[in-house]
Amino acid sequence: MSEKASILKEYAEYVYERFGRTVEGLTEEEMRWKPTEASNNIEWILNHMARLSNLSLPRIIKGDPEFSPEGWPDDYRDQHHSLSKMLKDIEAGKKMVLEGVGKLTSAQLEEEISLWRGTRKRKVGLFAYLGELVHHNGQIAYVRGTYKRLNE
Amino acid sequence: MSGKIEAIKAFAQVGFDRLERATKDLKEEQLDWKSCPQANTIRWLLTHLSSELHSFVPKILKGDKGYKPEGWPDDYIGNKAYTLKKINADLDEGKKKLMKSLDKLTEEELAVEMDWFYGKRPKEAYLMLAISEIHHHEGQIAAILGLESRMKGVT
Repeated sequence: MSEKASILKEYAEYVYERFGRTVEGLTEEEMRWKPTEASNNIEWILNHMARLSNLSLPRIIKGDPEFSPEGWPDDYRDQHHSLSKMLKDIEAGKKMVLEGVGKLTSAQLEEEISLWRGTRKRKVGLFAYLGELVHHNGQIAYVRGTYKRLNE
Repeated sequence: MSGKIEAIKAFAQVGFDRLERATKDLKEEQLDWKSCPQANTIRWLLTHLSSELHSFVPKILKGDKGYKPEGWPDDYIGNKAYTLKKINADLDEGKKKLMKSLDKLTEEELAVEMDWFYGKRPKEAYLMLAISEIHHHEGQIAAILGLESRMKGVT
């Protein structure tokens, strides 16, 4: 494994480990709770994170903007999924991401790929999307913190 | 600079860039807005993050859990006397300190074990935790700002 790939893989492992701690003890009820009617709930965030892990990140790793895992439904975003299904989907995405990142060569990480209506180095896209996972992890922690304090 | 430290710096920079975008139009009165009495405020999050940059990161880099920066106030986090301008200036200073400290770091130092709240882990793991706090709390700020605009019907 190239040094750069090993760093990114370590980082991705860390991001998912942090996510695991954030959702520890999460229930279906808490997942569907909204701070206000206008707010996103954790269900929405998990659905987004499942898509980041199974679509966005693998697409960057593979350099294939159309990639979708076998059997991945086109309407995943619009469906309600159970907590256990989304956690399972994120876990499957995590495996794909870790395996994929680990196989990237230094040259592939520096390669310019199609991204955000232009081209960017693959490593830039990976950093940005892994950062996006931490960003949403923070949102889950915010909603859980509010929910906990409201129910204390 | 080693590839590992270069990558940690790049990750931190992505976080700071996101934070800058999320807070660029922030107004003084938004610092203390809450969706409900139990929710956290942007003031708390920004001062907490600043405190992490000024105090938590040096603890990790020095390998000294008890380290306290000279002159850093005990009541910094959530302090309502601070203006947005001061909070932003402190954050900027914290960012500069972090980036400068990373420049001096070696891979050998990153590998040194620390026994702290997640148990025995290399210093690198605790440093990644501290840096991911930028992304983590930026996400929370974005959530509060999104919530505020939806509740007020701005968007």
